[in-house]
Amino acid sequence: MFAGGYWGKILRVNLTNKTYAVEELPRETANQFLGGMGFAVHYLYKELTPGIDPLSPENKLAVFPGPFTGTNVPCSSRIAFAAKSPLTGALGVALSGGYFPAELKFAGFDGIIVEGKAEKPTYIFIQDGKVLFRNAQRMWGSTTSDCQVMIKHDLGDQNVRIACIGPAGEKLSHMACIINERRAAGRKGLGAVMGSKNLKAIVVRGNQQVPISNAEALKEARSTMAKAMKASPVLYPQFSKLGTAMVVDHLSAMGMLPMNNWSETGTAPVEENIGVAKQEELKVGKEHCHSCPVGCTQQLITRKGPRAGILGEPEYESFYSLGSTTGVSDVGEISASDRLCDELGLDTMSAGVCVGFAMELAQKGLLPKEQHEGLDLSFGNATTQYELIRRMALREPGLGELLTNGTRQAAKKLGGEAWKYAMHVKGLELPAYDVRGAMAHGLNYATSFTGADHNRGYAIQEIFSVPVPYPVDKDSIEGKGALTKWNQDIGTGTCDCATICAFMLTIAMPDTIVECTAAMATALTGVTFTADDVWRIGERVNNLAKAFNCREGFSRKEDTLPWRVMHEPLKAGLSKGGVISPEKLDTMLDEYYTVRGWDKTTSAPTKETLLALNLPEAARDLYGA
Amino acid sequence: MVTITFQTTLRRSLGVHTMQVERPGATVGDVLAQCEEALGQPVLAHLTNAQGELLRGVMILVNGKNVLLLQGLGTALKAEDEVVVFPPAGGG
Repeated sequence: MFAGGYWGKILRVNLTNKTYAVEELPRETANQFLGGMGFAVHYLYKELTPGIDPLSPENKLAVFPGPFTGTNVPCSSRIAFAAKSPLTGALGVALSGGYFPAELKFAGFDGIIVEGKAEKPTYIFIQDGKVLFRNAQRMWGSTTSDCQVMIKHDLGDQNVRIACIGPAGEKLSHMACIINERRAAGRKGLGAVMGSKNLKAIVVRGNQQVPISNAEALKEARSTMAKAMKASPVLYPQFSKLGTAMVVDHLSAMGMLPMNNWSETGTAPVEENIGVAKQEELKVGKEHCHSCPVGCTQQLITRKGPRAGILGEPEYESFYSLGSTTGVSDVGEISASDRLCDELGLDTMSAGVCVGFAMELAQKGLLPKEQHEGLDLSFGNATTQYELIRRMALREPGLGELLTNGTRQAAKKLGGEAWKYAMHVKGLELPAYDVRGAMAHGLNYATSFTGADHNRGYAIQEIFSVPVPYPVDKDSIEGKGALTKWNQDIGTGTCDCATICAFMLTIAMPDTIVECTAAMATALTGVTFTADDVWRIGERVNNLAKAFNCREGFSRKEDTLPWRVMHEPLKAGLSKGGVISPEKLDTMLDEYYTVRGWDKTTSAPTKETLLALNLPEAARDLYGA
Repeated sequence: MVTITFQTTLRRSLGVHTMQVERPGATVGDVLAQCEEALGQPVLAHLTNAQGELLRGVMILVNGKNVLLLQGLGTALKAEDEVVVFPPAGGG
């Protein structure tokens, strides 16, 4: 049915009945949604009943690589995990890389939909078109590394690829992640969705080669991509050697690296302690994902102190969440905390922001001393951070239980003014950019359907002065609605649906990635995709995801920012004085909804918009027949 | 005096963070060329291509305003202006 790229097969697994079925991937679905996050949003919109408990058997876990995954298209081994998020209550999507995505394609599937709940801890083993339900009782309670070792031993196969949860997922922490190899689908608590289903792991093994419709045309399109990658002054010369954390120095110099729970951003440079030069002192190696010639993952080893000997791979986000925002200023300690989160299956970003939140509340007297449980909650205490990660992951009574479902829930439990310092949007903790110095980046945090998510609409124009589609003033709100739509739709169409690594968009080829995606998709699949189609797919997926949230009761009031971002201007640094006041946010939202064709009062896509995007089911759901 | 601050990898490779130049009326390009002379090592080569155009991702701020929205390297400077120069970066 498909000449290449897709197998035309979706695997549906029911854990309650221990059954599975192979369903056909309709051509229309491929045309309209392309793959990856697009497929996940499409199936979850269609199949999830509004109002369900995200941790009930009624929730489903969608797992979709893209059409390029498993081929020799560079940087394409990406996969979207998605479900209704326990952390946000919205549609939750997180993408991961590594080798698991490609292996799933080698096993002969375009994706998996997991339903129901297993009676006992289980892992599923998918091999060349068949599924086994295996007992995971022995692995229950294990860390993510140990779980993978045990499963390989259990199956007698060292070459399987595994996506699993750690203790945090089993304990239903709303910050639990899914780990494959040492990569993470980190955010939105999707690990807890697996935990709620008693699903410890998804294991894949395959030997099938993904077919290519037109090898010559694909070669040509790939060479355009390879040339763009080589031409980048950043990708190979810097990024492949230094990884994402190279921008610690950049964001710190811009006065936009959040410090001490966003209370001290810009007040002091951090490069001397946790910048690139310090990172290099601990570097021992690097890693690549399947099909990636770049290899941005940097391996660091902690050399001293109680955590000496731990090998970590902290990304930039962890240098913020487990570093600058908790005041921890030692690279080795940040790396060890990052590793602990991954081992226990906790999102490094939300976990760190929760630690910084607790530290500030303690400082302000909003977390009473008797609740500190003997911990020194001062900013900068790495031992406290390490201990809190453990307690949150294991949902230990007291602070662990208080913080493990994120800052929004913790603030609600604590009452008083704690909510003012809870740095989240829609329940998802903020990423590593103090958006008081970057208006479109802030508008993206407010409007992303997944909550505060830098991966949904990264404003490269503001953060890195990339003049595509045009240069902007990072501190001005003018035109930021249209720019945010542009950033969200291009990222969704190319990176999240075709599943090309996001750094190809943000670093290597922002000006050519849409055309290149269309050309490669056409050559690979035999289905004709134009650049307009790719744009349209990005827009369609963002509208359908928004409709999902509207169906769950989300409205304009959830498209907001934390109190601090709207009321406390930055005190110092290059972005001093920056703030996104409620008035500024309102102005940007009005423009954003207008350019999107969404209702300015409800924030919902209008009926006309949904119909124009060929989403009649969503139009019926929101507006009736 | 115009103050020029070099950031991140540029700061490390030049070995200098801040310089001051007495050139009212000069452009950003002139001032960077003067820094180059004073330092005895290339500065503009880190920021421009063979045609002398700014590389994608270079961020030069004059009193906080991006020169891409002014006149690029041709942006005229006044005494007391503050210029901050970021080489191309990416990641995050």
